Amino acid sequence: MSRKSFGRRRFLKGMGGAVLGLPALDAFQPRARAAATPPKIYSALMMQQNGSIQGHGNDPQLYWPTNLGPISAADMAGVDAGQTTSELKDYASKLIFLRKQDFKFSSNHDGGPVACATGAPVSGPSPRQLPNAPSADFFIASKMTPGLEPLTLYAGKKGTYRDDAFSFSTGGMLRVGDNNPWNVYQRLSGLEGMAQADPALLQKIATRRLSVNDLVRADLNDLLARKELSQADRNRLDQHLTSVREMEINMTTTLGPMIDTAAMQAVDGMQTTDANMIAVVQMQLDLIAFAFATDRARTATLQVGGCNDHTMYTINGKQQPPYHFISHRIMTDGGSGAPIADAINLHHEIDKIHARYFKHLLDRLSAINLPTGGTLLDSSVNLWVNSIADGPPHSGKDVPHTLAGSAGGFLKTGLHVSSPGFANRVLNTIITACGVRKADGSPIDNFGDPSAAQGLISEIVA
Amino acid sequence: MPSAFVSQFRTATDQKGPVDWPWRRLAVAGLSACLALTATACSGVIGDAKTGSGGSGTGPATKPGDIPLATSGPITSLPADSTRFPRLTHQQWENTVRDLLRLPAVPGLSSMFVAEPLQSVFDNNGGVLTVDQDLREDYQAAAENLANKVARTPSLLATLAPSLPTDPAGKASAFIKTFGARAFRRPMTDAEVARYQALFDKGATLFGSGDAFADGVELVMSAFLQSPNFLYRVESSDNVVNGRVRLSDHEVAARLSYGLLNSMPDDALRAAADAGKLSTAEGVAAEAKRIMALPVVQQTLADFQIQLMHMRDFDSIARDPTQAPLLGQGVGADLRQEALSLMTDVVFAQGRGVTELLTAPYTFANSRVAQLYGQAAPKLAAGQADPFVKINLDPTQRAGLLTQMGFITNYAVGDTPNLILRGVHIVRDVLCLPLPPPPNNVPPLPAVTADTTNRKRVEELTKDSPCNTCHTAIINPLGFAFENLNGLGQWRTKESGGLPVDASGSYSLDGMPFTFDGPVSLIKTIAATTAAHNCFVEHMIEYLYGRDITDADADHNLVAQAGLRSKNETSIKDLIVELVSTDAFITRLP
Repeated sequence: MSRKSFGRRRFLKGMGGAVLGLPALDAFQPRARAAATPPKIYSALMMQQNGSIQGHGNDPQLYWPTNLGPISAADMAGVDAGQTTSELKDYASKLIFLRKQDFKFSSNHDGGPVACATGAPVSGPSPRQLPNAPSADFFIASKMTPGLEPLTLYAGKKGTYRDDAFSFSTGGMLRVGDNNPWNVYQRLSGLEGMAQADPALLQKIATRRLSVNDLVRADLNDLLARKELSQADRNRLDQHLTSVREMEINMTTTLGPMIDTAAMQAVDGMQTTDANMIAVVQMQLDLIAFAFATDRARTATLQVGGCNDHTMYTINGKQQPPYHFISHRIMTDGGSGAPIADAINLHHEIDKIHARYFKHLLDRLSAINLPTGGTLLDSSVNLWVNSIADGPPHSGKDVPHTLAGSAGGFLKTGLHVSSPGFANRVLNTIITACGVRKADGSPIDNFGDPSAAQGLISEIVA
Repeated sequence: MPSAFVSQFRTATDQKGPVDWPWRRLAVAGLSACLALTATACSGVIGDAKTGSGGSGTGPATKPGDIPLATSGPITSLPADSTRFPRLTHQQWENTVRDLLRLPAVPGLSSMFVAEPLQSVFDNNGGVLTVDQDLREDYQAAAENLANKVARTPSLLATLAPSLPTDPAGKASAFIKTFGARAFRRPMTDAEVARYQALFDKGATLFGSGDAFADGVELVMSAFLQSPNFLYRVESSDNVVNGRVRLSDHEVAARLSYGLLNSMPDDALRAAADAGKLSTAEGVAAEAKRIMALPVVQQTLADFQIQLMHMRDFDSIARDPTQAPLLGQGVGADLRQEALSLMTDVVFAQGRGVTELLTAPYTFANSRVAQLYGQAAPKLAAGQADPFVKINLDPTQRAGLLTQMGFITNYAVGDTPNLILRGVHIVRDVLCLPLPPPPNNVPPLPAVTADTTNRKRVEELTKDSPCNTCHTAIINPLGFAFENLNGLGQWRTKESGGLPVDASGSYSLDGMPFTFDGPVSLIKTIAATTAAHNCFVEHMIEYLYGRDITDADADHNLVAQAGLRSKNETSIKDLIVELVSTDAFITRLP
């Protein structure tokens, strides 16, 4: 049985709001230690909305390096300094830029987000199209860490046109991301605050919770034993049972990246304001790194903004119109409105903001050294993707995909590649890089697409 | 609309993904002018919409084995597919915990829960809500918090267990059965009682506070609040008679209370269930009438209206203060209150129905809203109350909810109406006509200029294929009718460039063509159609039943009958009581 890494919640208010380094806590042993396994490969997927300025239609190409082939850090700092991806120049040798990736089954604000991590056919009316299969993060977790679910996060407002649409579990059930870093942290953190407390008391707390857990599980099993359940009801109860079944005490923690709990508490309750958006995204990325470092998750997703993200970023000292308006170049969601002056450059600046988000993640991952050698970044493959390819056309063709991390050497990095085809290949590559294989040991080449095996992107496989 | 076209937007409720829902969020996402599908789809046939429009609900059933449609007296109906485990929404969780623990107010702990996206027509569709690992831990933390608070506060514990046996074993057993029956919303089984008793008995050892009863209470209460029997409204009845399952009295009580109160059954309703009084439609109707007389029901209806009319969007209504000082920041709350006041007055004070809501030549206004309608406002001293009072409006310019300031200014940019979004709202939310999703590559509307009207620029952009299929016949005419009301909510006969406003047009509903000129003309015609009344009751059903309308004949028939009653001036209060007394509500499919 895999070790459950999500401890119970501890309210850490009253801790003084200090930047909290996690103490080692050995009051308990886990109920079962993980058996020896192949090297762990981690994967974080970050999704931007509203497209990018990458030269489609009449847009200038402000996104990618000028040249295909090996990524040149010198060029990123020099001739390509203004390009979006050049924000990542510090990681030039660890990046993979992928061009000409098309969504096969769905696109636009509703279907595009779903396509990013599933590559699967969708059904249901807009704007609530759902895939018929899980997303890559859930699939990887189900194969590599059974019982340890992905960390599913969100940044920004909810109650929009469409909110969560990135991560999906069995059968394409929507997984909802928490958009409050303080809540996420409290859920992730173990009993650090009680590290100095009486171990006997900790044992009682753990036993109480296990006792309650056993009863709740029995109640669920009673319901699942009924013959009259529909498949949909069974799936929902199964999901509930899975979350209950795998709860166990995680009383051991390891030193992880510093989490600024004071900052998280400061935005608690205001985590969806435009002014706090950048800070919240960074906090969520910090939490992903924390979860990886402390083995509380092996895969994670962060959806930045609702599916037609209306964040009003401050650029050049001035709060700008909603991001979605900018992507449409006019002062509404596309119905009518005055043109937005300099919309393309504003969109480009927002692209760069998202590039800096991704860099923040890479900074965190590269700062964590693994006991087995190398950094967390080296033992991961991380994706930055957009839910649509461009502004007004809202196309699902040539959607920008950026990878970072070699997945323990599985991938060749430092490459700018044009590899026309369906984006399912990116997901096949990521999933295989994370260690998932078919029953016969061959790579996963058919994720999401039931009609044809799309294969991997061979140009980047080592 | 052809059924094949409709069917692509409908799935059975029991499958993942809800059925057809209002277009509002699709519109907000910025579909500009062109909304038609490129290939199939928009046939342009009006009045052949989803549920019974064009019919009066009379006549024989549509196929052998169907029940006949009753045109008077109780509605005859059959249940449609629905989940057996609707999960409590976060708001329902708050209300239920408040009532279960007899707290003075909601605890507010769901603010720590994962914020959930809207996945259905209304946010109270428990059938699409799940419990994943994060939420399970949220529930655990909240349960422990509440159990600790209640068990260790003698006054709170006493209200939950006012009279118990004195012997420890009997006391524990009585508490478990009494509290458990309220938490599970039904009597516990013997096996469940034994299970919870065994847990209770561990309390003294695991807490060791010296108060064994409180220790046991804290432990089992935490378990009760995490049990699926609390978190879901479990419907486990399985006795099939004539293809239907008669829900137990307690299951009916739960449906009734969550539909009307968004919370667990109150003591009176639970007593009625215990006494077997909810096994008949008459018994259910009696309880429904009692509940409808409670003041708290107005909150439920307000929630329904806020969601149906997208009134949360009113918070974004704000105009340039130099252009419209009365429409500055914060006006949204006033405009929402205006709409809610009209609804409350029509439904509860006057006891009237949908037609009055749509056609009322009056509204309710505080001083700011009154000035928006060009009426004098009283001078108020600082701190003086500014209530919403009834004001009469020009009946040639205003009629009901659809000409109120909130609706009109919400679908506008500056002083320019967004006639497409106004039209889409009426198509989808007032008439329930399905619209396909928009295509990609929708061009923006040209800028407003002095030499053309708002209407003309929309007509120009949408006149060609494939846009015209939906716009010309379905969306645009409804938006044109409101062109007399500019983006600031003010009446106009000329646009800012001096060109005359043309708010005339033609349409077809219930298979009957008609012409109109201006919003009142259109609204009065709409208010007399089967389509509009069927649409309203469809939304009522979705909200009261906590599920999406399906494409099953059962729902078609239910909507047709309820819609007929609405059209014949049945009050909304009476309609609600009828809808929760039907077989569709108190029975289920196996």
